[in-house]
Amino acid sequence: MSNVQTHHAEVHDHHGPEKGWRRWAFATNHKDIGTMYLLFSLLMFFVGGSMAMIVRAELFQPGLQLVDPQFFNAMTTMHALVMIFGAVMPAFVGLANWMLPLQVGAPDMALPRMNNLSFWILPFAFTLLLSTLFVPGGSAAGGWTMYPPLSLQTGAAFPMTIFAIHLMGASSIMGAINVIVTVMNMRAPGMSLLKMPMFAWGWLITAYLLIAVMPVLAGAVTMLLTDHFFGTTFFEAAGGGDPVMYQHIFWFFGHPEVYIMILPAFGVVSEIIPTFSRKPLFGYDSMVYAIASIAFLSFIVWAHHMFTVGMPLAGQLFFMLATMLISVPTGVKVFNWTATMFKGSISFEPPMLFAIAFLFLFTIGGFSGLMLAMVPADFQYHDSYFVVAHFHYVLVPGAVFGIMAAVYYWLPKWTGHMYNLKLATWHFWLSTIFVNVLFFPQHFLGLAGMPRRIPDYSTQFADWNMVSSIGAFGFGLSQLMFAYIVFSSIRGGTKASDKVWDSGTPQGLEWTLSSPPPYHSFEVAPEIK
Amino acid sequence: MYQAATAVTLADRKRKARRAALWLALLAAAFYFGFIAISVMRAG
Repeated sequence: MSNVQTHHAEVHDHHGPEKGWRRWAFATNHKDIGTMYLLFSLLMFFVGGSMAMIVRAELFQPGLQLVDPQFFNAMTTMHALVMIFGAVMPAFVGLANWMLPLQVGAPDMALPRMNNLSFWILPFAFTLLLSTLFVPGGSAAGGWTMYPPLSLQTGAAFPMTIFAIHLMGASSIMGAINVIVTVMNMRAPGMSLLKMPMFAWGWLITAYLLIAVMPVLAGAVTMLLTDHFFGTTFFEAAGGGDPVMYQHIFWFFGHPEVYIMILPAFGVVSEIIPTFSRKPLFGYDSMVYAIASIAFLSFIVWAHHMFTVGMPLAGQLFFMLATMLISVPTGVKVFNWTATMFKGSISFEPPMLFAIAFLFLFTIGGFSGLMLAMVPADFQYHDSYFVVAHFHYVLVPGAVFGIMAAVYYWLPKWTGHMYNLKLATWHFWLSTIFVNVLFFPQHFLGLAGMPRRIPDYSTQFADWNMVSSIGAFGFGLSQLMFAYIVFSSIRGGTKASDKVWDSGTPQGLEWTLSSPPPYHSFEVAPEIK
Repeated sequence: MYQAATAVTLADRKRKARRAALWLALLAAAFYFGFIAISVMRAG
């Protein structure tokens, strides 16, 4: 990590933001765009969360109670699309917008107008996607993977969903280009790559992943579109095509996508743990290499999602062993975070609580991933609730907790106000308890044989489904506290100091600025020694 | 922009940023068309 000894990062606030709606519609300031991304992501988090509540309400007890099966499947599909592309990814892009220029000592993102465009595409994309709920036939219901031939049966929602995915992809690619160009060209003098903060490293590698795989998703759905409307047969066996090829192409995107949602969270946790352990990060270089190794490996493991489709034994062995190999760099990271805390003077402010929960609970998701990587075991677990439990442990107490840790860490810096720490601690404990009540029983359900994506189930699964639904309602309600805490901090509160976490040892250029930072920061380049 | 930077370095930085963005966009386009091309060839 860079030992940031800046000479004065003096700032001259020549002019402030524009007034009214023009400030937001024509925003080119990275802080404004970051704020819009984060608020949009929070809105989508609640939209996608509401869909999850419908799913869990239906599964509260056996039988069909609330919604018809078609709508249930639409809810699972839309929940995934909204949470992945609308909540988690934009939240990390928002964090990148806010923090990367501050962390690398740049006055703004390198391409501010493209930054504006990449944000403003999103509201249109999600309006289009969500409007499919109201078209004849309802929205896409074949799962977020959109496997043909099932997805080709979608009604009027089909082209709308695909166009929305293209828009989201274009937005992500533009965001990624901006991140790479900013980090590679705008770093403060003296900040070599191996002096960059870990959050910047996590995002730099994520951005390369995005550029490599988002176009692959776009290509796959373009071919679906031509199969549906233009008579091609890429994925249609009757015309000489191959539906399994779609799965290969999709998962070439889909597996790195998981790391796109987790590598920035690794960066966040690597910032927070040293601050509240009052020690430098253990093994900075190995952390960087571990992220790079995970990113590389993420490209060569895609077919572990497809073991049951059928493939040669050599293929099974390769994808099984390559997948297991990911646990090595991941283990390095978990070890280094633990070693950072070892003999540290730890304090448990909300960001640290979320980071520690991330460490434990993401590791549970990692272990269940190892179980799924084993071919013979995967034949048993495939498409069961065990898989649902696995990826939710990675994405909720993993990615989402990483985002919440980041917000609690940097929120006082953004707003200039310290939020209610007691309420945030309550939010942490309720979230952590309920997230486990929600997802841990799903391991048992999966091992007992409950398939995923079903609105009704055998009575033998009733008890754990009820527990899981209670956890879901508790987790969902707890997140209202998060929104309250964030908006309260925006509106006012105790003045935060420049370092914010005076009790800890926050490192990095962002802490050399005032809280909140001036509208135009680092007009004078800081020097890194 | 940095007050310390001279006009030459600023122009240079802008040029580098634009060039890098263009290359990255081309890389993304290559992945898009490349995967479609592979699928077309495989179908043939």
